Amino acid sequence: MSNKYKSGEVIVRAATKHDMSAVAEMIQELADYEKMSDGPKLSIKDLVHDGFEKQPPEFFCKVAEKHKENILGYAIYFPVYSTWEGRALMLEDLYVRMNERRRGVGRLLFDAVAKEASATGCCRLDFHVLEWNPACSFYESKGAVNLTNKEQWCYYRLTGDALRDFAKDG
Amino acid sequence: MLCCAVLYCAVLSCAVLCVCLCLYLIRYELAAHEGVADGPKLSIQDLVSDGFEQSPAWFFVLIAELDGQVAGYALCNRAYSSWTGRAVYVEDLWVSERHRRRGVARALLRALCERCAAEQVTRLDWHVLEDNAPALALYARLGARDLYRSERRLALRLDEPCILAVAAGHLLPSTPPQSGAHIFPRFD
Repeated sequence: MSNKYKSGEVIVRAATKHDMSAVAEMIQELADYEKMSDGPKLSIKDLVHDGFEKQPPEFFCKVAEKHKENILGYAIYFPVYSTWEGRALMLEDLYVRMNERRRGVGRLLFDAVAKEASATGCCRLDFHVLEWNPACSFYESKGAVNLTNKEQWCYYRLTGDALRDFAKDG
Repeated sequence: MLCCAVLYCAVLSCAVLCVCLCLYLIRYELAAHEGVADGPKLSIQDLVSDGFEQSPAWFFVLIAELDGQVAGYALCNRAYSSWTGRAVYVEDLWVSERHRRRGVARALLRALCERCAAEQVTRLDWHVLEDNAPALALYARLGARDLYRSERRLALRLDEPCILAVAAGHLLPSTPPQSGAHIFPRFD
């Protein structure tokens, strides 16, 4: 049975580089959940460098924290652009630890990113989700539109050898 | 044979204003092609400001020139994968109708991939309409993957009214799960 956190028990804040150890752990947990455990290749040092030492940072991160020491979940996002409507955000990852589910933490994280999108004048908040993930109904409750179904957008990726080979040989 | 030059526009100059004017005009071609001709809402000044006056810039553009004219463009932004690091997202890839079938799209994509390779960018992502057969044929030849087919990934969007509603703490009523859905932990 779910046991929602009371208001103020869990806070969502901007991550610092000291959170990247916990975030790296959760990135792996998320990959495990998506049944793609071999996906993550970045070290804690990579995350620290990319998010907190490079200018501009490559990504932004929020963490959900309890009692100023336990990181319960995270969100990674970055700015993108729509040539129709302008500034937008892409939510790359949203994850809550398995033993903290159903307590309102995911909603706190998602709402915080949406607030950030609103505060920075973004017209869109885009993200991808695996079709079988029941989080789809959570996103639909937020008013998210499934662009794959509604407008028949396909999501394509060029990576690895295919990317390198095309760059070399055209 | 590829016969066009691809320029990377990053420096503010009068040429940039011409680029943005061309972008402004040919976006409408792209929008009409996608069946939403009244889609674009940005002015030329919006494009100039967001792409060339903000720091960091919100996007970067590759322009293809053919016979002295702007033949097409790729408008992209820096992205990030928590698995593999730096990535690039292609928001628009467009070749003006009168310049088709001359290798312009391929030249744009190749220039983009060269830039990715030089900057250790390991992932190039974009969306394409399912019924865009010529584009799909080109992308297949690049070795691109359809992430819905390969991983069952859906593209979702929260539009501005919903962003504001969520930021204000609102939630729509939940819908009952479809029959046959897996039972997995939920976020809330």
